[in-house]
Amino acid sequence: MSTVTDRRPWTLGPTGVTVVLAALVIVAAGVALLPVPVALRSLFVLPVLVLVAGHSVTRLVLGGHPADGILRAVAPLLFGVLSLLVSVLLLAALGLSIDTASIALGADAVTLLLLLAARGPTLLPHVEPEQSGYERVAWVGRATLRRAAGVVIAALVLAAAVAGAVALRPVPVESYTQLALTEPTVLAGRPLAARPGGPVTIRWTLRSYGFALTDPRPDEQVTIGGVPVGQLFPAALPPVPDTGNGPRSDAVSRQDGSVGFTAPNNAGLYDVRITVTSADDPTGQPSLLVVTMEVQ
Amino acid sequence: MTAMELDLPPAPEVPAKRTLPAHLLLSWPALVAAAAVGTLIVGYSYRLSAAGAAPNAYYAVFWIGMLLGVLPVGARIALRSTATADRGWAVALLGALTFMPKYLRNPTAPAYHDEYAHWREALDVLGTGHLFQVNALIPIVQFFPGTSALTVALQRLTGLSMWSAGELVLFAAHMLALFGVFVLARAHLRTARAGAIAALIYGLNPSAIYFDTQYAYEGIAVGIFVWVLAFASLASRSTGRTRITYTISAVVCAAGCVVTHHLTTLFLVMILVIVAVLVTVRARWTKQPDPAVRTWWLVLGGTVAAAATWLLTIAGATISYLSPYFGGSVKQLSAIGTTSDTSRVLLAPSVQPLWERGLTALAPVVLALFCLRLLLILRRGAHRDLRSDTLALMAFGLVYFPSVLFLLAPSGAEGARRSWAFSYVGLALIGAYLLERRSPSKHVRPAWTRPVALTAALAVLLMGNVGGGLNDPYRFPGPFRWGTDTNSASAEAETVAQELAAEVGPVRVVTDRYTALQLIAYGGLDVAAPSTGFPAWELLQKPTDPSSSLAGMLYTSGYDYVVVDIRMGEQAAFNGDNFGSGDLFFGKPTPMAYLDRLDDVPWASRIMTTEHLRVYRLDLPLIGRTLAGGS
Repeated sequence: MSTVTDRRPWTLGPTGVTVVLAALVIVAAGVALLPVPVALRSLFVLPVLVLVAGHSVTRLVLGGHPADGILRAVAPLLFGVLSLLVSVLLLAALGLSIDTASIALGADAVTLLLLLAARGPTLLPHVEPEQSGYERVAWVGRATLRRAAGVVIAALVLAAAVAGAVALRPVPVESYTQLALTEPTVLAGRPLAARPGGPVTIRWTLRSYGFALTDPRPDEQVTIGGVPVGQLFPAALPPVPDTGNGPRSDAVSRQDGSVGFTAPNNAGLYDVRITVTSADDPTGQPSLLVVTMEVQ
Repeated sequence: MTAMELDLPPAPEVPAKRTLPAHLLLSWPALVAAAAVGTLIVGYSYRLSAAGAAPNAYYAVFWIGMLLGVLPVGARIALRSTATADRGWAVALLGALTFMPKYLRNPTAPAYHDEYAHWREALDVLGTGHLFQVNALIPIVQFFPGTSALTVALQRLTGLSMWSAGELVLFAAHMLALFGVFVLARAHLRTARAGAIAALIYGLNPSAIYFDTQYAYEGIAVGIFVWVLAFASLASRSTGRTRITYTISAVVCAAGCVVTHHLTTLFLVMILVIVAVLVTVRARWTKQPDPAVRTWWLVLGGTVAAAATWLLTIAGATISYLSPYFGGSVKQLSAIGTTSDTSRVLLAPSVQPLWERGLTALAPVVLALFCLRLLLILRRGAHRDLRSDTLALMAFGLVYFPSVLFLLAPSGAEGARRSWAFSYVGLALIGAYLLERRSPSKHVRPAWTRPVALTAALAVLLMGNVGGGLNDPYRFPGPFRWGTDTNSASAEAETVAQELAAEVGPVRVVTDRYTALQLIAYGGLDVAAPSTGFPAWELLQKPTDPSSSLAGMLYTSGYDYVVVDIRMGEQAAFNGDNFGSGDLFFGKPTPMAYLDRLDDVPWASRIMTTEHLRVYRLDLPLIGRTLAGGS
């Protein structure tokens, strides 16, 4: 929108500008609380809350018509960012939880307060806003539209170039397996307990990254104190797709399994080595777990 | 507000004729096209480096792309015929171009040391709903919530990923810094051209393109810092209500700086002290009252009050955090004269091509020539045309030269590099003043000499400063290389962090400094910070069980897990060490037998394993017990 000094059709008076800005701020907070697409939130909610707050502070600081065009153009971004920072710090100072609702409402409240402070006089009936330095705003003219279109096209060209440059980078895919023990006793920091000659079962989970597991029965081997165990009771569930634990996890498959064997007859501390080898593993190497077992 | 209030002379912009080729080459479609093609070329250089191409090749391609984008914009900024609004758009394009290399370096996730820390901090703030979360990687980050507060606010309002929200904040801060310098220089040197040239020079400072565009608190704070100086400068040139509002704006910006970054606040106070003192001294010397005196002291007072309040109520740990850097670096610098043990070697052997290293050495020379030229001009009486605060800011720029010396001291190198983002404000003013000044020359030179010389100087500063900033693994993506903060990151470490956190929660872990970044960032794990008093490296770097004192510290502090990346046994760390300055195998791989040893002791159970990583659960009370033989 462009600022004009003369009265034209399709212009909005200072009071109208204030009301429109206030309405935009309220709608923006509402949209922030709704499950709307990221693009809409990024292109509407953020600019409205930041730039209206920034515009208000700029007006308070610079008055109606700052001489420096660059300052007038950039100050709303600076003050908008600072207003957002103040909103969150205020939430923290008040002991409120920082979440979507509090941020949206907090930023909304701060922006409305700033708007009121900056443009409050335009809402008073006995004040002549246009004589107090409050501008009328004209609807977008053809020249402004042409300029804005040029800026948008330039931004799109640069964004496309950035996207192209990002796409040029090869995305390395690491293919490997991750074998994890799922024995609560050991995870709690205690040795695996067994009775002499008693049965022992160790459970594990195998995850694959960068490739899918298909081998239904991976090879399992166990040594106790360096000696291979002859009689094993291996068990494994079929591999299933795994979504992983993190947003960037590339886990493809997951396979749960266990191995059973008989504990040594003599009491003492033993190191138990369990190797699991999936036929699908691109490294071809067995995965090793080592557990301390106390037989008593 | 009137021009008189701003103390600005009538606009001295002198439109000059532009020749047809220049008109076409520097038209907006050409500038945008050059920037776009330059961006693609920079992206291609990263493709080459990621694929392990020869450094000469990817460095050359990178600079072809950057120069293609930046030089035409620089020319458009410097042309006398460019309109003020166009200069503004050119500075905006420059901002996009100087932000682009770091963005393309790691567009989707953190890669720099400090980025991991701030990204984790933002995630923890979002997860808990409260600021001031303990940060295992950079503990002091906890007390400066500006970055996490803004990132979380943007993330919640837009729904972008936390990383993208952080990048958006940094992009805004980068733009604000350039435009802040624009406004600052315009206030001091009185023309938009000078302002834009100052922004151009500042945009080439050694920290601008990689360091201050990383997702960390300094980049954001610098964007605000510049505006403190800009508003203070505007206030000192204004009267009445305008002066008051500008002064308040400067103090508000200073407060924003205070809650965001400690070192930036420190430099801000230093600059304000220098300016306030010099302005006062000159006013008394000349016996001419200068209204700027009061303004600068007010802004200084407001800044110090905000910083002191923050330090006393929230961030008391800052003093103990920063003091070793200053004390240590001064000691090390003085020790360099007597011993070579602690010294650093400028432009030490690296993959950086010789020609870029030469330009790195040349950049301070170019700046020195600029400064010498300024001194000559001032000697002839030009200082009478410049106000005291302008001269004071220019004088602060000269801090750049002694700071280069601190690169030789291990503790001071980081501080020296970081000072450049601030001293360059003064250097930008000096450069803009010299380029804007029209002096009748006694010598008649061909018309092309000045543009060619300036373009060459611009290229030297751009290439030399970037070369003097961060090292190769920080600047370029590459194949896996053990012992770098950036290129040691692996999907394996990331998924181990995620799975470990999912299985046992945010436990305390001992690991090397590179794996630590992944464990903290992706798992929220609490990683030990080894030191001579807490030599946790002994777990992996000695052929014996940990001493009873170390075992006691580990046990009582709850460090129950050890994560080992066996690649530390296959190659020496690029940075030299795996556990900081106390590393027992500096410059060497850790013996693999020491790493394998953990599989043979009763007090450690290997509970998770990947191709290269091993996770052990410690049961330290079992130290001293022996394992029985086979069944």
